[in-house]
Amino acid sequence: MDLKKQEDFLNHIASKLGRPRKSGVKPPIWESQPYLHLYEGKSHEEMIEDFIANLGQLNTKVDRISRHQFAASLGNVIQDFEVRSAVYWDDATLHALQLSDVLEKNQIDAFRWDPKENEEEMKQRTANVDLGIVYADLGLAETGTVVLFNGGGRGRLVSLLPPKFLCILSERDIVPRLTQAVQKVHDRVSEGLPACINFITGPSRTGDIEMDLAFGVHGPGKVHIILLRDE
Amino acid sequence: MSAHPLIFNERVDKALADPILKKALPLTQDRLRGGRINAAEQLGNVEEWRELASQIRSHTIANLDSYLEELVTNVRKNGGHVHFAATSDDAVEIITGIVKEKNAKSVVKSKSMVSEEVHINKHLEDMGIKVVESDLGEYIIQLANETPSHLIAPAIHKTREQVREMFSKVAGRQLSDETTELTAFAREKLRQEFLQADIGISGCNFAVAESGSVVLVSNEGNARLTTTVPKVHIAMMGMERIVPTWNELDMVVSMLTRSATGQKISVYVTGINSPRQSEDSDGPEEFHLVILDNGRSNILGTAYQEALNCIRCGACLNVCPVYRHIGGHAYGGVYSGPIGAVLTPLLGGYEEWLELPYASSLCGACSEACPVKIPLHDLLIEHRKDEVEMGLTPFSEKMAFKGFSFATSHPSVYETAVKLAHSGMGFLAKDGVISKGPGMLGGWTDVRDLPQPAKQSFREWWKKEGKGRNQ
Repeated sequence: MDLKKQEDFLNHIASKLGRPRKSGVKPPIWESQPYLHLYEGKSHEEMIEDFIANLGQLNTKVDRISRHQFAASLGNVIQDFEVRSAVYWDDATLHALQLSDVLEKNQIDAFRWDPKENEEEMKQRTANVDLGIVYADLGLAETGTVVLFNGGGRGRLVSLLPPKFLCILSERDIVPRLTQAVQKVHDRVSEGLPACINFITGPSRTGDIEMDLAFGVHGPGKVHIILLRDE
Repeated sequence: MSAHPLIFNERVDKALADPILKKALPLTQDRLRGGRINAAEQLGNVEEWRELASQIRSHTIANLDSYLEELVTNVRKNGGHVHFAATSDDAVEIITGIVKEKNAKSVVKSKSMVSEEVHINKHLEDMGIKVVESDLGEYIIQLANETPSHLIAPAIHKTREQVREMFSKVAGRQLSDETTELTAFAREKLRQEFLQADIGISGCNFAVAESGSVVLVSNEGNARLTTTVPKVHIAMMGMERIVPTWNELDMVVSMLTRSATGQKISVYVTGINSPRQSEDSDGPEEFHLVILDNGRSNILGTAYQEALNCIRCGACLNVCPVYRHIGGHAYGGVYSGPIGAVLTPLLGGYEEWLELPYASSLCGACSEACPVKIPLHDLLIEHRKDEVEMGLTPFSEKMAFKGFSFATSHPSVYETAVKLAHSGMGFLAKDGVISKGPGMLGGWTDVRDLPQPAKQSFREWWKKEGKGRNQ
């Protein structure tokens, strides 16, 4: 029944287009690459600087630090954002940074996003903490975007429900722009994508009341990035 | 699909007499248009971007059956459900069916123009379902019981005082008219709604055929909440809102955000690729994709096919001198501005939407602003021609068009006509302006003065003076 509806729908489109049904069409290779000049000839260092500057324009500070400075850097964020509670991803890189120890030393009431825990409780808890902490897969220099491949211990509510958001990223994962990020997604299609991929650029914002800019209407209104130097 | 009981002229009169609109429209237009122009200048080669975006959209529409088939095959492979809706009624039946089956009591929505097309809120509310719009602008107009007046900024016709009054009523306490206090209240209130809602209904900025994904573009994050918190997610998609692969998504998303608000990218771009997977403990357990035709297929294979390239950025609204004066509601349909004037008669029929192609000065600013190069003002002329040919327009209009086509194909007649306009209208003018025009001119001079034409036409002047100057 459903398949019949689908066939009718698609056949109707083909007939309106004035040709027989098509199947398996692939897009051509687009010769034009109008975005190339935006980053061609730029060094990786310049792209890192772009990333930081672009986020600066969006009310978002980036701390570029060595790994051994992580505890101090996180301590500053906790102070600046007046954080008392937090939720963080179950992520190998975050564990390697001894995130939970640092949080504990700062007397933060923190918990790990654990898919084995009671779902409803974890959701409520996440909705009530001050800060969500994640580790991003990619950063985009042109826009200051971080890219999150969610799934499992990398819960998507962590970057969404708390009013403040801390994202940790490695310098080496900064690419020029969206073009490289979608290419990576495209390359992963055959092995299966996670349920949700987020591209996040600065704090949640709205201009819906008289075009007056306001932050944090739904997502986190304060965002901070810790950028780990390649050493 | 009419959203207004008034006829077109009455809607225009109402808009022109509205002091709030008069203030809000130029403010919004200038802000958004300025953003777009800055973003274009930063690119340096915006024409190349437009050209590629246009090619991508045209290729996709020309092969729509194939890409839709690929999309739905992948959605099912990923564990989602697919529903095809030929008409608005079909879409309503599908969605109310899901709501009943899930025994849902409440629905939270993120912005979807397609859902406006099928009036899903009304149908759900009639069933006793609580429906909450979560985009701040949409929430404001839902409280005001109105419809969006701009594609990108749906509540621009509301002042902060009006918002304060409505929000205070919901809050049960007096709020100030500070933007931060009002948005903080909306966050708190809508967050409760999200955490309780049984079903989330979103739109779909673009679907990606190769992976069966739905991509949502938003600044507030409400689209993320809608597609993450409730157990069931329904995405409503106009059948043309699709790209072949993630690579093409790059270009259309880049053009959408730059053209809509001037942002290089929106705060959130969210790819929903499947319902939650076995290792996940958040995200909806069930995903439904509703693909809507509702008149779109009738545009395929016609002179208007390029209208389906639209990526709903609103750039054409922000440059339109007519929109600037009358705002979104005067257009009467779901889509306003130049793209609305093109699309609405195609989706809803000429009988009901006869005047819309005339809600344009044909200045062409819309076509120039369009990031996917839809020749909007040409399509408006095409509509006028079609209306004339179908005998739907007033007699004077018919004669004008016939006369114009006769005159333009007979140079001597054309020249006489132009000369007549320049010398013959002198008797109507006073102090260089005509404020009470005869016949068809009346519609123009009722609302503004027409400058008296120069004594001689440019062509005449050129004949006499221009020759010999470029030697």
